[in-house]
Amino acid sequence: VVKVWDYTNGFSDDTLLKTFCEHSGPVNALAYVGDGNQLASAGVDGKIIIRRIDDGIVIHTLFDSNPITSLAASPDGKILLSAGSGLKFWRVADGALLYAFDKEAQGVGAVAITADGRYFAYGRADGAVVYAHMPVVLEESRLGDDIVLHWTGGSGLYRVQRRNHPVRGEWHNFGPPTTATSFTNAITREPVFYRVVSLPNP
Amino acid sequence: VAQGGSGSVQAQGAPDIVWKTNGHNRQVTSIAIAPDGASLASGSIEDGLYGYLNVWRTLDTALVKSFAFYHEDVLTVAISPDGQYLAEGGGGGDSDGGKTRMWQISDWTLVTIHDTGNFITAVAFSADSDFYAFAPQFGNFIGLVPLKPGLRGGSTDDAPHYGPVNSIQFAPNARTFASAGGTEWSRFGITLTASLTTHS
Repeated sequence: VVKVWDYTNGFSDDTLLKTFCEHSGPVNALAYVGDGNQLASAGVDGKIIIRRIDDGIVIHTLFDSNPITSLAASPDGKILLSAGSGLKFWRVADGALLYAFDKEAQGVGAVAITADGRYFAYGRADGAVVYAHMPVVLEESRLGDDIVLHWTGGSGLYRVQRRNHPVRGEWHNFGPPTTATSFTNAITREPVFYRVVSLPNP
Repeated sequence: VAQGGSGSVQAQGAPDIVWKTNGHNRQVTSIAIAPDGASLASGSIEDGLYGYLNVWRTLDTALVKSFAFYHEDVLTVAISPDGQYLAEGGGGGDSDGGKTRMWQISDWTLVTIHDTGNFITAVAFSADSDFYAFAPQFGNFIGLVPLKPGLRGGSTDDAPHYGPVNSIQFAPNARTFASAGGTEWSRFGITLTASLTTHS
């Protein structure tokens, strides 16, 4: 069960604002996402539930197959990181699973994201603490006849790559390595699919 | 039509690791990062003798500070958004009691210590660093402690979750916070249903 409390005028049993009962088991973790008006929760039932706080409407129910121990949100509220059996990065806006790092991180009991959104840290069952770059997350938009890519995460040094098929074919470098975090190019008649990779930053 | 690759799942991918430290020899239960990103606090369960709370410099993993608590688990840590305070919660020891401690980071002065009847499983600071909240394993109350004069805290009397409170998070932009819990404490594979029957 998830509860929301108002402490504007002190705190007691009477200042309970909301009770959310969507989970079928104990709830282990919470994170405010979006503009801070949405609350994500996760727990033993392996579900991540993102709901609007004011009216309680569930916006996304995301399924992990295993219990979740910990959640963290990026400072802009756009990315949610869940941990338990591995690490998963979700896009809050549409609930898309962006990255799943299952092999590297068994038994993750804790995650956190830095206040600048550039790094995340996790703690494992074997006692290891790991500090890592946030993965590259692309946002695509159109501006007139141009495609505009904007990205966050990574090392700070990037390479834009493209190919002509969404899932097949080699990626080809497009332009030199860059420290920019956006890219604009004319939309072509042929289909073009872009990605941005993070390079080792010396 | 041009498209970005933003929707692709990289299931076989791996984190782009900056560093990794084998800083604890048991389950790491909790991590908090200082608001300036310069340091990171991690807590772990007892290794047979001690549970540890370690503070690392993120630049080079130098151990800035290490607390060892005799026969105690560290279950939750938090750093205030203004960077002034570090709090932990956990428990154990001879009394099987729970504790939450809060330090002033500048000189590691222990500012407060609350001794409670059972393990502390959640600590949190408000976004404006005006309040500090904590809750114990058996969920029989949540405490809200003001950190500046003239503010009102308080506590619940009823058990808000009929079980452990596993998480407390303050809203980024309102004087509200959320608490989460359940009827068995299973975050780290420990189930305490027998002890919980009196609270359900």
